[in-house]
Amino acid sequence: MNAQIRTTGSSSSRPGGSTLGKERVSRRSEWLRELIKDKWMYAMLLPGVFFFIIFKYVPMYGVIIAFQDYQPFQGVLGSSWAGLKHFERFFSEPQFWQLFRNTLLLAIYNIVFFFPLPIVLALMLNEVRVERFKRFVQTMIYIPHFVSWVVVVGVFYIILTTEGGIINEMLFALTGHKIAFLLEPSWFRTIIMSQSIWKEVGWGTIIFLAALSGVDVQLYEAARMDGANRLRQLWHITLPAIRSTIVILLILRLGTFLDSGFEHIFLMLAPTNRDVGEVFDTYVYVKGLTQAQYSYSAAVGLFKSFIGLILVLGANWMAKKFGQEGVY
Amino acid sequence: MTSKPIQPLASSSKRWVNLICSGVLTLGLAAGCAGTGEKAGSSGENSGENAGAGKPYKLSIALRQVGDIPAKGNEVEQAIEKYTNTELAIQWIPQAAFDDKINVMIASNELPQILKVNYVPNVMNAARNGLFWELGPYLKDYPNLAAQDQRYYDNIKIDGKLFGIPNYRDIGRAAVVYRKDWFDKAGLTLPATMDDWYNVMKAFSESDPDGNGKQDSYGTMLFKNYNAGTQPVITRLAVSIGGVNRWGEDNGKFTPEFKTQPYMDVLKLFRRLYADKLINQDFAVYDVTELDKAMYDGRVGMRLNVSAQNVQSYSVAMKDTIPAAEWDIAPFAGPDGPRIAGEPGNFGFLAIPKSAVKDEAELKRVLAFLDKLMDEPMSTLQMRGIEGKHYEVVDGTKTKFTDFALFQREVKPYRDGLLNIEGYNVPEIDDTPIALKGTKMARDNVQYAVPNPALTLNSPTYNERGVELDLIIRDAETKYIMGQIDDAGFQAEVDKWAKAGGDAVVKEYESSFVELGG
Repeated sequence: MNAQIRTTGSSSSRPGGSTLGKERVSRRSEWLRELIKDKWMYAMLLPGVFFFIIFKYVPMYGVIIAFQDYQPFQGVLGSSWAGLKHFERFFSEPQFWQLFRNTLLLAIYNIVFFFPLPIVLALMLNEVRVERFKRFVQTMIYIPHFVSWVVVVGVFYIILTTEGGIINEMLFALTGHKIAFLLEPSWFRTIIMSQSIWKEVGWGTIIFLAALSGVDVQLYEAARMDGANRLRQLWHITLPAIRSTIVILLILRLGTFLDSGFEHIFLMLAPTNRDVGEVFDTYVYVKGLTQAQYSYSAAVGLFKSFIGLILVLGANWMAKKFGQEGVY
Repeated sequence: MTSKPIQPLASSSKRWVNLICSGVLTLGLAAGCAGTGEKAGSSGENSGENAGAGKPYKLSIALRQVGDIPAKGNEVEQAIEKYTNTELAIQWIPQAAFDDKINVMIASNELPQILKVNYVPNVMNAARNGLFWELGPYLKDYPNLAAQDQRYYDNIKIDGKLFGIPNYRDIGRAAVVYRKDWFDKAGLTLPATMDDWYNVMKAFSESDPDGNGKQDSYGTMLFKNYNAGTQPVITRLAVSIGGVNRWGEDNGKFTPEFKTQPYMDVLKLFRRLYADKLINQDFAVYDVTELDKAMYDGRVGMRLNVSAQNVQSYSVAMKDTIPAAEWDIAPFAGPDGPRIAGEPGNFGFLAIPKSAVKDEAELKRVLAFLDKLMDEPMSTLQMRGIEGKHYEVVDGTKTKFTDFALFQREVKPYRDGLLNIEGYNVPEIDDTPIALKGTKMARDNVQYAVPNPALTLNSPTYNERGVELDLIIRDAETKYIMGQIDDAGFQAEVDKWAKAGGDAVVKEYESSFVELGG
């Protein structure tokens, strides 16, 4: 990641010295000259820029329905304005704190239990010296990422159900009791986290492995000369080398802090675990799609994004404060 | 990610980049522009005046998918197009996400000329806001549509107005579909009281009626959403012992079913069954398709959430796998005889959005199409299929299925989505006795049907938060059956319901009842 940033910086050669006198003019023309010189580079950027404008920025005007009483047949421009009505309703809703707590807990669990795992796994893989074995393991742990949530939840259902599920049959043989994993509220978060980890942890190692492969081998050689063992090398070379990658990914992760993964949670919800399982994402679905309160659910979604924005800005500020590179 | 600096481009590769870039750009722009202009639905050339003769009328329809999606331009579709002089573009919407998809279509106002919808709050709101044509005044001009029982239309009225043509269904379809061979072997009769139900369930769970040496069969099984929709298990049983169908009405006072004694008796029955492990313990996450599978494996003795006609398909499907299985049907009955929860008499209805059908002339063209669907040739096509392929004529007038499985695959999607009803403009059928019994029972049992008095009443609160309110009660029922909450806990949930809007719903139903001249 850093490598790229550095590359673009150094590739533009700066003609120095001779233009000092007419500074303002030259800076302008210099900018233009570089633009023309690298025009094909910039041209390559355009599809990406268009993508963001058309699919990310233009649709954003739709969030104004959060401040309206949106009626589909009157359209976004024709609907009447409602001010902050929907936000007020959301914050005074008796369910608000429950939703907030459920979402927040899942988000924290995500950061605490899920986020470090790909790093640990990547470090372990990095230590594997038999290339073929390493490749094999990598491939195996990537596969679950491509399995859809519907299938994952289905598989877990078959394993965990009290009606002939293998885990419960074993439990029953050993203890004489069964545990309704899928219905028991106390198991909800554990199972959600296990599923996320099973599915995504392998995929999460990719960026860390890439960062690890960029570490200068000479550093390790030098460390070995000085008598550092494996753990010392890990601590003093490997971890510092990927520190900025970890920080950047953590910041990006915070941006989607409150995204609980709608599909996943929705599939796992049952009448008995709704008290701990209902999160902002599923609430938006119930309100917006099944009850057609478009404006209200837009307001809830906007609130969620707002929290994400604050977290990203905050984390970035913190990162810079501690001398790390941020995302911008 | 190596830190190799980017190589300066040689002039030949420069040209390549040039080419690729402009190519990508053009593609991107083209993709961005496509989509405008080819809006589905109405188009200028459909002026409506050329009804009947001339160029085929282009008609876009959105229907609910039943089974597999039929191939485009198949024989059935061609036959409909030819008879009605139309060019059909049918969009099949998967059942699992049907209401959601309809909501999205309404929200984005991209609607076909004929839209299949359910009688649910969102659709009702859309109708009130003038999204659909009101059809009441036109109905009399279309002989087939006008000939149907008024009740079918009354049950989909919104504030007393008609906004669509119902997919007609028999009102008295509710029936217990059961394994007669199991009952005979155990020497049992169909249950009538709650104690009877308990005993039958106990017998079927513990006596191993399928004879496989394992205690893996059930009298009946529950599944998630066991009490949602128009075929609710708890409500049906409650009605059979004298309860109400969703809502009770007495002198203009409305009571929800869960505040009535018969309903609580049924819940108590299931609570007891659950505690004694006589019902599947994971029903709260059990899918109804799993239940179908268990039934075809011969592990289920009774189905409570289906209709009388299903007995035929169950018999046919299990003929080869479990030859001993003998299915029969009976109406839900309590100590005082048959008493069934009346269904609304439709499988959703076909609405005509104003955004796709611009003027009255075109509306008439669409209505003429719907009316024609109930002409004799079209009714026969929808309910019997194509002669020589799906059915044959016997005894001069009667029809007999030659390939029922093929009919289910190729014709059923149209039968379920379009307009037809057994007994109207369709030749009599010669079928197995049990199939005929099913058809007859669904028709005749309307005499035992208890209607839902709140069905067509208007409650703004229910329209706004009905899904949540229902969810509170659904969840409470499940927790009660599973023994997670007791009577006091259930009462607390009912109070929560009342506070969250339930009380308002009751009041609004009562005033709406007065308004509509109840």
